[in-house]
Amino acid sequence: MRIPRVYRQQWDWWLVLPALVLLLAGVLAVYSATHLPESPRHGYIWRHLLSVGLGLGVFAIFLFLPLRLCEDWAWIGYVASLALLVLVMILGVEEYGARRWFRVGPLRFQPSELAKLALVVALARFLAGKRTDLARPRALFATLGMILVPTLLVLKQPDLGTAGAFPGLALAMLVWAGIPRPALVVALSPLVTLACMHYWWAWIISLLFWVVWFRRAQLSWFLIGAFMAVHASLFFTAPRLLTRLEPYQQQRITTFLNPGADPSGAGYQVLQSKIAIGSGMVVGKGYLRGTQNVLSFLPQQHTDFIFSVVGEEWGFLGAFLVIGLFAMLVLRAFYLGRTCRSPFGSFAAMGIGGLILYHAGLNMAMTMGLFPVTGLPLPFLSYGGSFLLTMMAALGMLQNIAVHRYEY
Amino acid sequence: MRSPKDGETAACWTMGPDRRLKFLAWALGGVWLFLVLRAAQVQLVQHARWDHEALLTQSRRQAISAHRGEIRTADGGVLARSVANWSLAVDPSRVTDPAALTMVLDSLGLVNATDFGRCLEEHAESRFAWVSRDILSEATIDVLLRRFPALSVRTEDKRLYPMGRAGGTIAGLVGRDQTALGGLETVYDAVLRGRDGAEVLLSDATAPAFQGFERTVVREPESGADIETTIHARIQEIVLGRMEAGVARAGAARGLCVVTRPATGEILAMVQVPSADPADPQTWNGPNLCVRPVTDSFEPGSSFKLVAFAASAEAGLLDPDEPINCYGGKRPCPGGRPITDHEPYGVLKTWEVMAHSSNIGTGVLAERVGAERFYRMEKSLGFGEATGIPLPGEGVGRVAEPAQWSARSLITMAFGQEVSVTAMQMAMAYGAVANGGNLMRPLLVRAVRNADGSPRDTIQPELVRPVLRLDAARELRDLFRRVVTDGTGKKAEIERLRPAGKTSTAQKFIREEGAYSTRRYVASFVGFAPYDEPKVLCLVLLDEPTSSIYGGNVAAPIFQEIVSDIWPFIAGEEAPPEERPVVWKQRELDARRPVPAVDGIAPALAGRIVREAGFRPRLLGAGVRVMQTEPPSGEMLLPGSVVTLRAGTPGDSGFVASAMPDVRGLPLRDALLRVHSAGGGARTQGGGWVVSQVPDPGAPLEPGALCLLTLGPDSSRAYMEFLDSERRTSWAVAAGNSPAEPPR
Repeated sequence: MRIPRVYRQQWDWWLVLPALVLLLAGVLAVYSATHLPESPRHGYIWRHLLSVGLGLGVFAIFLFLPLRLCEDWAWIGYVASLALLVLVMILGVEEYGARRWFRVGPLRFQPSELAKLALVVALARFLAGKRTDLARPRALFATLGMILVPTLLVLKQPDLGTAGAFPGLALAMLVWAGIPRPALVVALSPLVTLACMHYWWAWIISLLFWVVWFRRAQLSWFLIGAFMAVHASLFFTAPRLLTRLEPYQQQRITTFLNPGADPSGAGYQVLQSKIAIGSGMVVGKGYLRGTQNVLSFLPQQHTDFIFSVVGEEWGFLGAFLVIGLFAMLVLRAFYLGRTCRSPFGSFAAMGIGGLILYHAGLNMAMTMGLFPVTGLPLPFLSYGGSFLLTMMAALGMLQNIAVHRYEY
Repeated sequence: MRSPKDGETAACWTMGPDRRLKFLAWALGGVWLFLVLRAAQVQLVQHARWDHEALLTQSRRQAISAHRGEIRTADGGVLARSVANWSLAVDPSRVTDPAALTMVLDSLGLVNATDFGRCLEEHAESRFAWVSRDILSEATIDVLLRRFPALSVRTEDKRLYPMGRAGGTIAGLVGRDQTALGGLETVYDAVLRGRDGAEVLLSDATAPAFQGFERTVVREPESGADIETTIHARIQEIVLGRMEAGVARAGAARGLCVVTRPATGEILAMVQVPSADPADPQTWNGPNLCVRPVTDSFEPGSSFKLVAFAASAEAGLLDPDEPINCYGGKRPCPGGRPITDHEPYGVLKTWEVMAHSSNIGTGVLAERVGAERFYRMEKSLGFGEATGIPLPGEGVGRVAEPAQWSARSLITMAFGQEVSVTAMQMAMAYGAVANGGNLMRPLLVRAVRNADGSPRDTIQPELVRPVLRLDAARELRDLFRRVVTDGTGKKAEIERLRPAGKTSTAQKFIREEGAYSTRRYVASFVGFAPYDEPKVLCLVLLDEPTSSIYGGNVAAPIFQEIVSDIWPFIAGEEAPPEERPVVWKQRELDARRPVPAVDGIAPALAGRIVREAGFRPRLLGAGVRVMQTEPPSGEMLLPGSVVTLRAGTPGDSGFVASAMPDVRGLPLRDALLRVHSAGGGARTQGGGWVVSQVPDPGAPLEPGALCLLTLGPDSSRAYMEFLDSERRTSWAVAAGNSPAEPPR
């Protein structure tokens, strides 16, 4: 098969290079985290390399998959992914108290990863539609519904971190789609109320702020009243909802607020992660020399906490580089979204950028104790097949968009 | 360049495409800044704190226990000594196969399967539990550690008391965790203990206790000092033997004996019967753990007549030939029953009052001396005050002040009622008479030596106070000599040693009845030899003797036996063998024991077996198995002889493949150790001692081959042979059916 010339002419190294470096860093870090013969995960590096190999294959597939085909099959893909999410609740394997995985022989597969990509494609197609106007409530609510369905299904598994990925990636697409600013603010405002959950005076101030802001946007008093009512009910029911969270989720939130409270228990992960990163200092302890990593004090150091291996062994320079590479990658995705001529490609690029930003930002924040532990892997670095394949597929699609960005 | 939706959204609040992109870029930049700043904060600003925390999580500080000093006897024996001992611990959270671990440990006899299973369950979340804190062979430990990473080993000192019952409780006890539990161990704890060192152990999160990949010794432990007692091991042993025999002969409830050198107050032996063996908790019943000659007070009886006579002599009122009226054996006494003698005496000379132990005569002497002088002599001889011997819980006895006395107190005290004393006080008081009038402080510890043997402290004999003039002491010694030659103590006589002493037969005061018992007595004899130049003092006390109640009948003979047996050691010269006491010769013959069979056993274990048998192992050659011993096994040798072990490795010329050891008649653990160290595995049935084994002793044993050991309650040979034939048949049958499984 001859590779079309456009792939050579328009190949976007700005996109592929950071991803490849991150992938390489991931291989090195996973090896460091699992290389010791005493490690219970000794030998995982081979599985990781296998995943990377498969990932490169998936990257190639999505690189050459005609975008038109993606657009045409978007709805089918979306519905299928929802079906899988429903199915996994029935047929899935339960692990760590959650049903997230299908198991076929030795293989495990997490349908929520697929659903992220399906949502990107479906939302891109929907938003790219000529008749979609987010200024109209119908389109707005349809969009929110599309986001909410997979979110709720994943939340039910339960998998808080992954569930958040759907609104997270959608946010970038909605902004790009030109969602009316009040709608955006209204969509994000519950976060403010939740943040003020334990401080009623801060909440009152935030409400006053909303009123002033809405009046300036000339919103009717009726709508403002409805908004206030929703927020009031959220404010008063949220603490009660919180107590209905899974115990481990509650504990993570408590631990986040006060990590020193139980250093050997729930706070252990975050504390150990901070110890590892902090003791890495400027240039790190050297590859394979991270004491906290090698001595297996780090929890889940090959998956969710892989960033702490990076921070410990390569220091601030390594951490800075990894954060920077992610920023480059996401920025490039946004740039492609801006330059891509096809509306579908444009939205898809934004969605993928949002997806990477959500995962990378939240994971690194969590590793450094800036966010409750939510169980999110770090794109391209963490060990874990389903997620790596998803990210490689996304990268493939992104490069596909980049290559064809001047076609309409 | 076209952006989607351009021109289609006209609402005033909608941003243009460039502003939207800017918005997204700002959001990205915000996240980026947020992360970088945090990384900078953690890694650049707070790094010192996190670095310190990292070190803390990796390192554990733990004590290196100091080697506890020895307690030695004057003649080079050892009362207490610490030896290295391996203790096995388990990290229950790391146990992967509890069933296998339990089975192996159980088969080694280290744990009880059900108890250990429960222990593992209960401590499933914890990181540490003891498995066994007893001595194991190094070989076994290596095997266990390699197979079960959840196990860990710690060397801990174990306290041994090699003299066993003979050493008794003088040394005291040390508990598992090196806490002193009495005796010299308690009093000299600070000296013996030394100073624990400390080490920092670098380890990972999953390492079991005591194990890490790097140790840094922060402070070396300082071994404790050794203390050297005045106790003479051989005398102590002889005395115990004689006392046990004597107590049995007299049918007494218990017996005490103190042997001292009167000139210096050195305690040469201190024995109580029944005696506790520090190594055997079954002998630790209640008061046995006390050093009773020091802790227990009793009414002394006639031996207390010393006070009246000493006071008289000191006052110059003692004339041995002066007649004393003894009122025909019965003298009314104010405030109670009349005083009686055991035989009716009319008039006795003063020396006869002593020799025949007349209560009435002594009372007359006491009255003549007067209460004040009597009391002063009582106190002066050390009664009613602690002797200051370095042992815990010393009793002081009871000596009332004259102001509290009744009208008859002086008289009854004169013959040893209404007072109570300890055996040690009595021995020291008689010691003052024996050494010419000086009350000495009992000397039990004469030196403290540093671990390297250099002297640290020498304790000199200490004079408490002069009590008697020299001539008064001599007069008294003459009187006591006549007790033995002409009086109640004739059975104490040893012609060549010319001992002197005093018998005593004290009624026990029964508190519940408020009266003196007519059936229960304390019989004693305290004396020294030779009377004119005393070198040794011995006090023998029997509580509630039944064969005879009289000290002259039951205690004096024991005194005689002890003093004549120990004399060679006292005189500082070893008697020629033919003159050695019979007991000693017999002991030497009995002491010879066979060299144990250790061929084919790992050298470390073989060395231990040989050492435990009482010999000194000497290892020749390097190798994994002992090939032969010199002299060969079974030869009778005196303990302490050298046994040479020649080690070899498979493939060496002359190396004999491992053979099945003969484990019949051994307890389970010993049997398993031997089978394991010969390279075999073992399956066991039943409990108790090994009664049969397959394969036969001496049969070649392939490494890892399974042996079947059947245990039974009786290790007698006949029973063993019977069972052996039984099992052999069933084994053969079962082996025919399913070769892999031994019969159940």
